[in-house]
Amino acid sequence: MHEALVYIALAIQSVASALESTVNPLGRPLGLIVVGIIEAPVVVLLLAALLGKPRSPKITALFMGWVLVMFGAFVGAVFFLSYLLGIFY
Amino acid sequence: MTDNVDRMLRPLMHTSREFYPFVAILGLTFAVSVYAYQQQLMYGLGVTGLNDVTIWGVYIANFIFFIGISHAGIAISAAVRLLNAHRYKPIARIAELLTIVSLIMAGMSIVIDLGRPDRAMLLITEYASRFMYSPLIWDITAVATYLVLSTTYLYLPMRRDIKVAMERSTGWRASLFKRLIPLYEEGEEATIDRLSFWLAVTILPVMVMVHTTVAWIFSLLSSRPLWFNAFAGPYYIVAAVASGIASVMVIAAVVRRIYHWEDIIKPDLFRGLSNFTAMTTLVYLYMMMAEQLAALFAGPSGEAFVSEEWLFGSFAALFWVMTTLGLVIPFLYMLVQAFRKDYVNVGWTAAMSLMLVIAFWFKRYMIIVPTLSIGVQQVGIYSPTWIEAAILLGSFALPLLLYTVLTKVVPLIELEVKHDA
Repeated sequence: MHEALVYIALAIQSVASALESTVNPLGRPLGLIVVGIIEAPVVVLLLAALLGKPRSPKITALFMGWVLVMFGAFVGAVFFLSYLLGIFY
Repeated sequence: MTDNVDRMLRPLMHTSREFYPFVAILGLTFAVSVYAYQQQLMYGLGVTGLNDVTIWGVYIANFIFFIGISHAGIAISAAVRLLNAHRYKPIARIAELLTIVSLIMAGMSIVIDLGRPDRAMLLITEYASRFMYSPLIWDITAVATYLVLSTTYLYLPMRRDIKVAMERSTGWRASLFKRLIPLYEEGEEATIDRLSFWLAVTILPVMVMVHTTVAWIFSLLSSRPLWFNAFAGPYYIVAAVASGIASVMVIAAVVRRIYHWEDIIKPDLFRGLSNFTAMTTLVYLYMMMAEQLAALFAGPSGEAFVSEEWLFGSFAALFWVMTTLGLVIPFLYMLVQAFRKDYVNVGWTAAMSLMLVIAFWFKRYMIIVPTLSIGVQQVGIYSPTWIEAAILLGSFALPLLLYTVLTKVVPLIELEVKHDA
């Protein structure tokens, strides 16, 4: 009996907590801040790659190209897997 | 020194007889997991032990585990570059490779967990409308950035080593290596060194954000007992660093033995890593104690209830075995070793590291399953099926397979080319 009451109380608490907690209730741009923090070092890196010395246009191009290709590979892999596994549906 | 270069390049130039059966066993294990996954695709997640209550299980435990392992590579490699910790240079690339393989596996774990993996593309097509609200999207952003930067960090400094390998090989190998270094120009090393320095600077904060955003996937769900936690980010990062560095020690000990690199990967190096792992494990144990004490002593009823189940209830056996065998004993061993002057036993250190790695996998399981199954009042309703077991086995076979194959393309130890000339 005691256990059953605990379970019921927990269930009510769980539902109430889920209903009460709104995501970001004050409406702050938290997502923007988080993504900004993640990507800010990349901006520093790109600036360092373009402006730092010693510099070689060929290597800078290779670096930028590699980063773009890897980014494309990541996005491509997600799309490819989606289409490939979509065969089953 | 030239002799040393040949020895370091040996995995690229020669393949032992044992290599093929090893790869075959891994390939077979992976094939079984592909069959199991095909069953999951055909019949849905109903073939797993997951259900409407326990919506996450071993796949998500795997995801957190592999993200954690991926921290080691960059932590070690960046330390070599930024802190001039050159004595760790022989294992820097071994660790970087581990990072990349682990990140690939982490991504795959998410896809495997999806009931409709054909919708994975929504993560990208709906990115703009979701990134303001979804910790999952933040995590995808961090993981993608980390993967791109890590592959760049691995590839750029490796070009000079591939060039050396190309010069010392003939036939198809020379041709393959030549294709791997397009636009190579003499003297590019200075520019690449500068880029690598900035890459190291950049990757460190991204690395921290990767595991912080993983932690937020759980800790921002306020209705789940033991997940809603302000220090979840640091808590996860400490586990990641400990398990990652322990994994590097295991792999380094294995390749050291296989390729007879005892004089290159010196015992002293294991001693340093072991000391650091002991310290991070201690911090982790402390955080775990703080978490459980707070939940038991004054937590809301849900928190206290789940904590009680962890420590004294249906998950107690798993928890105490994991904590004692997997965390406390390795910690004590590494601590005792740290206090013994000039002493390190590489074999035992690797064995203890392996126990740590296994324990940290189970810890990730413990984070997810008790909260989900007990949090909605049905103790013990999740138990993985053979499909999940097979996929889980495959998810360990695949990274091993990838790593083994990559050792035939990637020079595992950064060469000291300038000194050789």
